[in-house]
Amino acid sequence: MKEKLNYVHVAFLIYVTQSNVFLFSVPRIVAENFGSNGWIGFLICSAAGLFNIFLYSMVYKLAKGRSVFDIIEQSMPKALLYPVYLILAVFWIALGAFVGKQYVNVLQTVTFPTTPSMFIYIFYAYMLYLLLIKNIYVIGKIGILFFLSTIWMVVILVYFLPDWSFSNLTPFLFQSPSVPFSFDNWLEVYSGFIGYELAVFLFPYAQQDNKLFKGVYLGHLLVTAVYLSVILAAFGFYGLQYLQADQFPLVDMLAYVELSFINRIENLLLPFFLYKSLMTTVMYAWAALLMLKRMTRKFKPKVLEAVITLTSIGFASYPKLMRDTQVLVRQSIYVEIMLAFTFPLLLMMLLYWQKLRNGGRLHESKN
Amino acid sequence: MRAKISVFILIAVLFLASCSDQKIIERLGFTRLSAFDSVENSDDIRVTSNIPKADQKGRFILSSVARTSKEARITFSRENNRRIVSGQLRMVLFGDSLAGKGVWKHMDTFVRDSAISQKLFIAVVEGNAGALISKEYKPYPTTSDYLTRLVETNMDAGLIPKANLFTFTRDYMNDGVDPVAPLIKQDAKSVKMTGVALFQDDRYVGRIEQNKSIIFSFLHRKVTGADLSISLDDGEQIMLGNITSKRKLKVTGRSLDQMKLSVHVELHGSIQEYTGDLDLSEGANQMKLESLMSDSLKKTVTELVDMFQRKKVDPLGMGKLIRNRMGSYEEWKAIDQRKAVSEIEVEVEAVVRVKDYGLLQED
Repeated sequence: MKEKLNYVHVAFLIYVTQSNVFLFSVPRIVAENFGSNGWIGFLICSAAGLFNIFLYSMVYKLAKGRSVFDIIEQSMPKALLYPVYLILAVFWIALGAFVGKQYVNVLQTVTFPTTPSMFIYIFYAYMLYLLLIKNIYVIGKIGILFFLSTIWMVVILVYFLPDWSFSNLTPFLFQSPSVPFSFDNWLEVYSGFIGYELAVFLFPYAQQDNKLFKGVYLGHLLVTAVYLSVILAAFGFYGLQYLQADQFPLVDMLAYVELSFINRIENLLLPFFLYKSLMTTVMYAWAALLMLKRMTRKFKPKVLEAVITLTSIGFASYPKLMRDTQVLVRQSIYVEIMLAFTFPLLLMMLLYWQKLRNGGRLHESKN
Repeated sequence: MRAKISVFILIAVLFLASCSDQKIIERLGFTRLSAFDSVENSDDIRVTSNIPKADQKGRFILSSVARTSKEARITFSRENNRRIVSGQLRMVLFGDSLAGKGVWKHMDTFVRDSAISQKLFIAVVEGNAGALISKEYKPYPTTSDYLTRLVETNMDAGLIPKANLFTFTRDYMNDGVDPVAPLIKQDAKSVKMTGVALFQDDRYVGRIEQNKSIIFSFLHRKVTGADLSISLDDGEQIMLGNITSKRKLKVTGRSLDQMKLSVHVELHGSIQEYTGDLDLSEGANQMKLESLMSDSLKKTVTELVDMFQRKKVDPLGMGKLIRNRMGSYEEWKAIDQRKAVSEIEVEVEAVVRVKDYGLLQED
């Protein structure tokens, strides 16, 4: 019997997919975009994420465990769909690659400053390949390991309590952001949550107990909780103006920790974040793999995985500077946010239409 | 087999990581102390670096006039057979004449350079900072160890404020608070802590004398384990030891002209020395001493706060508290913040409590 993902697996999988290099800069991004007490704006973004997940859960209910591919292909010609699949696959590989490259860039501000960044990325891509050739169940289990390897760091936040000052939070709401207020502010903060939408591909792999979305909600709430504690810690520790000036507040916070037997522990801790970032890349690459496999079954096992890995290296080699990578990550995530919101609406319309055509009955096909 | 190859590659990466971006200790010169002084009639600065030898017996002193500290580092590397790195930098000292012009221009690089610890000590030197770090102080093996230990012990004892790169940057960048740094001076044979340097933004504009700097620490942060010697009006001396301090600054009132700052300082300690005649085993006498000591503390605290208001500096973050009481952020932005801080009415409350009076029981 094929193993299925339990909702607990799903929760951790969604957590490691959502949380990535964004964590290093999230306090600054919130401070820049919302100003004082920006964490409230952050929570509003998280609520928007919950709503989006709710849309997916509606799709899940209506789809009754069918994969999205079955739903779409039932009503649309393949000739029309395949180019879309291909574009999506390439886009997701690129998105994952940029997130990975961004991690390498951040790592290089602290360690290996002169090693060619692509040299480091190749090892990153090798790990991507190793995970990609496994099935989603194994990836899910590894997600738990990766989760455990970083979540303990939340404890470190206690270290900042003595320097944490309530008066740094100020009683003002959304005052003196460093960029003018616009829709972009919300988008940029929302970027941190992206990743949950991949749950739509998990339908056929989840246990048939209708708890898949319980896991997705849990994962999203866990990400919100971890981000929020880092944001609150940073706001009270730095104060608004300093926070807005600090490129990677979390890296600097880790650097601030000094124990009597060891200091500069950010050099030790930063590599752990590799796993978070890697899982984001892996999950998007996995979604891309599904797309490609749907189009053709001609390839031998592991060939497509290798092609994805090489494509990923290709995309990652494109941005040469940190600012280039940042722009690419931001822009591709904006596109992804748009996709994340439109996709479930599209699916729901399709399912509704199919229901109408079947005279009120949902199509009952097993995949 | 495949799995074995993968495991091998991953383990090899783990160990071979050290072959990239090598830093070979024997070929590096670790700057431990850096000093910045102003150059007369010029915008350039004199940068002096103290680099201890690997065997801890002696040091290299490099000094150069340059526009920035990193430019000086490049000059140093040209005349030195080692590559000068700043990962072990422990303390940065600014000569008072340079500090008076503003230090942020020279500190930007410390914050930017990820190799430099955020717990880097910052201090202002009365006189020439370069000369201070160039000298060797017998019997201490290295100047860098001597100075860093000196600062550490004084900080722990509450004799000087906690001031490192992080606190300085934070208080410089955020509104409603100004940074502080310890003030030190070179003596014939040693280095002395001479007080607290007060900054207005990044300019050194005033000082707190050594005898009051511990009281400043009580105002500035929570101190544990400090000792405080108080002379009462009639010439009696009391030494309060093992002090734990508490402080609370609070602004009341909603509009600027109604606002009032209350400063509450509370010390709990044991009497370790007393030259007067009161019988300390009697509770009433202890209370009498407590009130005498409280009065003395209140007087010093009031003097300090008055001085801050006169000099328009805000090391205690009074501005932040005023800001947080304002009706809106725009209002805070619109007012003259320094003026608001210097004109607010201040009410000082000082409490000293005697936990115990030592082992001596008088009859």
